[in-house]
Amino acid sequence: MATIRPLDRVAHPRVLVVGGGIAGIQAALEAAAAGLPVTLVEAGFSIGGRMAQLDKTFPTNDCAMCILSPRMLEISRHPLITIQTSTQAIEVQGRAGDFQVLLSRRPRFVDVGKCTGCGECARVCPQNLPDPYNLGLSQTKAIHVPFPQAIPQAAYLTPEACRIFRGKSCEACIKVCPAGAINLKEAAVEWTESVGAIILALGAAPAPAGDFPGYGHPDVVTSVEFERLLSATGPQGGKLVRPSDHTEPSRLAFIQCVGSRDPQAGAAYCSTVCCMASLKEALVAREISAGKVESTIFYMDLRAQGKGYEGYLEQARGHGVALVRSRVTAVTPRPQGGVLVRFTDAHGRPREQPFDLAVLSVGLRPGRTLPAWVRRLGLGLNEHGFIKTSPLLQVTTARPGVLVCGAAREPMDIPESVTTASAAAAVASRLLTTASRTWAPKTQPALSRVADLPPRIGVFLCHCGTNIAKTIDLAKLATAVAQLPGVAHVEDNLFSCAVDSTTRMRETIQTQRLNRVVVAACSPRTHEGVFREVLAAAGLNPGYFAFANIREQCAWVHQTEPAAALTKALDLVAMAVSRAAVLTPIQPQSFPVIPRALVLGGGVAGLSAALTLADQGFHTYLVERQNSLGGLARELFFTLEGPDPQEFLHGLQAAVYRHPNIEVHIQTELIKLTGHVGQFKSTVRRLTLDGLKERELSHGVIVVATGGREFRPQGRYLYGEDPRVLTQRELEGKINFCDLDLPKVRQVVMIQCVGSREPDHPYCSRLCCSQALKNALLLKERYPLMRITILYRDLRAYGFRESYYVKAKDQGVTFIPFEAARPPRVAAARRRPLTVWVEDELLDQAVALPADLVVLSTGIEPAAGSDNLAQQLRVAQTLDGWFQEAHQKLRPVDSATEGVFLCGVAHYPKSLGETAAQAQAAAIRAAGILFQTELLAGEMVARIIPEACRRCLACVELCPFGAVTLSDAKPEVRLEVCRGCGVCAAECPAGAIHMSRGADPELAAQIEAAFGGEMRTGGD
Amino acid sequence: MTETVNLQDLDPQFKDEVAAEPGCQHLWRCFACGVCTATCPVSELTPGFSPSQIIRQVLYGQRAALLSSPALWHCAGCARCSFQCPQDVRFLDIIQGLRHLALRDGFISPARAARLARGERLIQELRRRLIGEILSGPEELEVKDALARLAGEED
Repeated sequence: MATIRPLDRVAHPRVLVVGGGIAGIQAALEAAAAGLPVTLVEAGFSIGGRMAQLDKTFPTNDCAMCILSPRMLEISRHPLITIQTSTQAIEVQGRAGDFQVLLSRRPRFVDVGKCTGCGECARVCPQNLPDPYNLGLSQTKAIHVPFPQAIPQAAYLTPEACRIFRGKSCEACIKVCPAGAINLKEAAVEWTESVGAIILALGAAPAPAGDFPGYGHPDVVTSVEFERLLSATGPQGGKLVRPSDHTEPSRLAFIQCVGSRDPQAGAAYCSTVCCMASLKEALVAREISAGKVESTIFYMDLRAQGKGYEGYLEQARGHGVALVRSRVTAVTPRPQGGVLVRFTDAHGRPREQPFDLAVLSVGLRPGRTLPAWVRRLGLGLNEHGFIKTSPLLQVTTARPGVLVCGAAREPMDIPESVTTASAAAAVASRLLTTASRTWAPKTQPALSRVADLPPRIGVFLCHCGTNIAKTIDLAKLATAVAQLPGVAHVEDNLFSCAVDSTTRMRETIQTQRLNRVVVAACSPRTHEGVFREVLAAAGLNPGYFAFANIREQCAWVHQTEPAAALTKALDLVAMAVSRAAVLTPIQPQSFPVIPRALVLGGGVAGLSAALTLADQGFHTYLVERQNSLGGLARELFFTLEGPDPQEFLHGLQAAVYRHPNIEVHIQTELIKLTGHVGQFKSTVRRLTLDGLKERELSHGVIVVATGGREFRPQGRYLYGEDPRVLTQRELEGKINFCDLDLPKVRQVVMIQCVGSREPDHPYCSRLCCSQALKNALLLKERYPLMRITILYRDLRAYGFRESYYVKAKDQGVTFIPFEAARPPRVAAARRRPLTVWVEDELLDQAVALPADLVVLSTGIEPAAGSDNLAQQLRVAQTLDGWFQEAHQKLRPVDSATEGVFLCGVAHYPKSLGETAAQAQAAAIRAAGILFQTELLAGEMVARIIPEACRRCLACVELCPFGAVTLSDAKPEVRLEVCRGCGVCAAECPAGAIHMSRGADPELAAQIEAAFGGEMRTGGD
Repeated sequence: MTETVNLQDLDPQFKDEVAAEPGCQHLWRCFACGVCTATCPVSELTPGFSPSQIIRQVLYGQRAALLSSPALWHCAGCARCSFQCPQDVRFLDIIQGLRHLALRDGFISPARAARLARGERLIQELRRRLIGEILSGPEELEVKDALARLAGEED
C-alpha cells in the first residue's frame, strides 16, 4: 500500500487547482491556508461550478447560492490565490514538486480587471441567446455577466452570437461600457506556470436525457432544469409553473436512475446524489406552492445513506411525498399537457397515472474535460470512466503529485466533495512539506485616535452604473445628505468599488481629514471588505466605516416609485451617518498559537489525522483509550473493493510509531479540557503498571476521531440465543479464520437494517449494505454452492458499489425486499435449519426460508462515552449522538467550537477510504490554525462593565462557546473565545454587557435617524 | 398476508434450473424494478399475470406453484419487457423456459400444450383477418360483430 511521503525536493510550492466548482474552491482555500500559493484554473467564465445552479441543498434546505457565494468572495479576495477563468491546461511536464503546466486562456473579450459587472452592456446588446446558466430555459444577451453572483464579476461575450463578429455594424456595448472594459481584439494567451502539485477538481456533468422516451416534451424536464425552475434566480423567478402552458402544476413525477444503474445507457454505477436531490426538489416544490404540489418519486432503492438523510427521507414521507418502488423507462405525453407514467405497484400490478410535470432525475457523468486530463497526465480511468484512485487512498492518483477530489473520482454529494477537496489539499501540503510557505500579511488596523474629535463624515454615493441611478436621483440625494449633521463631504461615483474610485476615496479621506466614512451602495456582504481596506490604506481604523445598502434594499425593490425610493434612500443614508458618528475603532486582540495538536482516538481516522499533522511539522499527541491502536478496523479483514484493510492499518500504525513528531498514548483518556483555540490545555489519564497517571498537554487544536461501535442485537432474531445467528462482523471473522463450520453451511439468510432505520436508531448506518455484499461475495467465492438470500429494505450500494451489487446478483445471491412495518422473523426448530419468515408484498405471501446461518447486518452506534466527551469539548451532537459539524454542506469537518475538528465514524459511519480522507481533511483544517503563529480575536466581542455586573452569572451559564469564565467570582469574557453572538448581552438583567459592534448607541442612533427625532432610551 | 408458503414448497435448485434454459442466464440480475410489468400489455388485461411476480417466484424456488400456474400461458410474446429491462433479464426467454419445464415435468400434458400452441396460431390468424377487415371494410364497421363473425368462420 502506497503511503504518502513528503517529497525530498520541491522546486515550486505553488499548487495548481483545476476546476472552480465547490471542490476546487475548497482545495484552493485549504492549500492557501497552509501557506501554499495557488493558481485555480476554470474552463468556464465564472467559478462556482454545478452548485451555483442549484436552488436549495439537502438536508438543510439551505439556499445553495447563499452558502456558496461567501466562499466565492473569500477565494476571490485571497492574496495567495490567483483565479484564471476561461483557462485550460494544454500540457503538463515534469514531476511531483516540479511540474510545468502550459495554460491557455480563450478570450472573453472583456477585461476582467476593468469590468465592474454593472450589466450595462447586456442591457443595450440587441442580440438574444439562450442563457446557459438557466440551461436555455430563458434568454440572455450575447454579452452578459454569467450570473448575478459570478466571480469574477465581469461580463463575457459570446462571439458566435455577437453581431460585430458576424460582420454587422453594432457597437452598442462598447459605447455604453463606462469602464472601457470591452476589447474585441483580445486573443487567446498562453503561459507556463511552475507548480509543485496538481489537484484535479474536474467535477461531473449531468447525464444526457436525450434518449429518454418522452424527454422532448416541454413538461418533461431534467432535475437540473427543475432546479432552475424552482430557483428565485431562475427563468420563472422562483414561481413553479410548467413550461408547456405556464400553469401551476399540482402533480409531479420524479423518475429516478435516468442515466444511472443502467449499463445500456453507459452508466452501470449509482450516481449517489439523485435520490436525495429528488426528495429535496419534492419538498421545495411543496414549499413554494404552499403545499399544493404533490410529488411521487419512482425509484429502485431509495439511497439516503448520508448523515441526516434518513431523517430527511422521513420528513418527505411525512409531508406526503409518495414513494413508489418501480423503475420508469418512458413517459407518454398527454394531449392536454403533462404526461402519463406507467409503473408497477407493490403487488406487481401495472398502473398508469397522469402527472402535470415529470422530472427526470439525471445521474452524474465524468466531467467534460476529464478524458483530456487523464491522457495529458497519463492517469488511469476506472471501468466507469472516472479517474482511478485507490479505494483506501481516495485522493491520490497513479501519478505522484497529482491529486483528485470531488465528483471527478466518483459521483458524490457536496459535503463529500468538500471533504475530499480538503483531503487533496492535505496530501499536497504533506508532499510539499519542505517548500517554503508564504503567509498573507496580517496587519493590525491603525489605531487612529479620532474618537474624541468631532465627526467629519465623508459620504460616498454609488450609481452602480444605472442599477441605483436609474431609480434614485443621486444629485438630489447628495444635496440632502450634505445637510445631515456631521457630514463634511459628499460625492457620488459611477462605481464606488472601481479602482479609480477607491484610490480617489483614499486621497479624499486624507485631504478632507475625514474621520468617518459612509458608503451608500450595494450589500456589505460583498463589498464591506473592499471599503474597509480603503480606510486602512488611508490610515483610518476600519471600525469607522458604515454601509448603507441603497441598491438591493431600495433601488431594486422600488423601481416603479422613484420619489419614494429617494426618500427611503435618504433615510437609509441618514441612519448610516448617525451610526458612523458613534462608531468605535476595531481593536482585535492577538494571541499566540501553540503549534501542537491533540488527536483523540487511535483508529484509522486518528492515525491518518496524526500523520497528516505530523508530516507538516506539528508535534501531535495521539491519545487512544484502548490498549492498542487500530479501532474498528482491527476486526476488518476484507474490503468490498479488494485492498487488504489489515495491511493498510499496519502501514498507518508503523508510520505513526516511527514518526518523530507523534507521541502515542495508549490506555489513555481525556479527563479535563480547558482553554480555547490556539491554546488548549488538556489533562489525560493513563493506565500504567503503577496505576493511573495524569499528565497535562497543551496544544492549539483538537481532532476528534473517537469512532463508534457495532450495535449489539441481543435478543433480536434469536441473536445470543442460537449460535447460528451472527452479525456480519462475526461472519467476517469466521471467513477470515476459515471457520470449520462454514463449509457445512448450505443456506445463509442475511437481514439488513438491524439497528438502523428503526425507532431506536432512526439513521442509516451507511456501511451495512456494502458489508453484506462483501461477505456474500466472499462466501460465494469460497463456497460457490452456498445459497445466500439477502433481505433488505433499500439496497444502498451507492456510487461504484453498485457493481458489487450486480456482481453478487450475477453469482446467484438472491435479494428480497421487506417492509419496515413487517420485518422478517426467525424461528428455530430442534435439529433442523432455522426458518426465516419474510412477508413478501409482491406475492402477497409469507415465505419461509430455511437457513443454516442467519447473519444480521447490524448498524453502528456512537462510541461509548461520546456524550461525556461532547460536553468536555463543548461540541454539539446530533439526536443520534454523532458529533455535529459546524455546517453540514460546507464545513463538514469543523465543529462549532473553534479549533476542534471531527472525522471518521465519530462524525457518522463511513467506509475506511472515506474515513481516511475525512481525517486528512480534518487535519489540514487543524493545520490551517497551527500554521498561524498568532490568532486574532473577533472584532465583535462582548465586554462586561464590572461596576454594573450583579454577578448573577447568567452569562456564564448561557454562553454557547464557554467564553465567559469566572475570575475571582466575577464573570470575565475571554475575547479570544468570544464569537460575538450577543446572547449574554441580551440576557444580562443588569445591562452590564455591551457588544463591541452593533451596540446600543449604534442602534439608538440609527433608530433616531430613522424616526427623525428623539427616542426614549430604555433602562427605566 | 393471504397465504403462506412453507419450506417444503420451495425448491432451492429451481432457479438454477430456470437459469440454465436458453436465454435465461441473466435471471439473477433482476433488480425487481418492475419495468417489465409496467410495459407488459398482457399484465394490463390479465389480473393473474405479472412478470415481476413470476421472477420472484422463480427466485424463491416455488416450482410447483409456478409451473402449474395458468399465468405462464398468458404471455403474448411481444418481448417489450426484454427490450426495456435495464439489467438485460430476458423475461420472454424465461417464460419460454418455464413453459418448457412445465411440459417436461408433467405440469401440463403434451396434448394440452399442443392445443395452446394451436390456439395461439388461431388467434394470430384471427388477428390478421380482423385487421384486414377493419382496414378494408366500411367506415362504420362494428369491430365486435366483425370479430364474432370471423371467429365463427374459424369453426
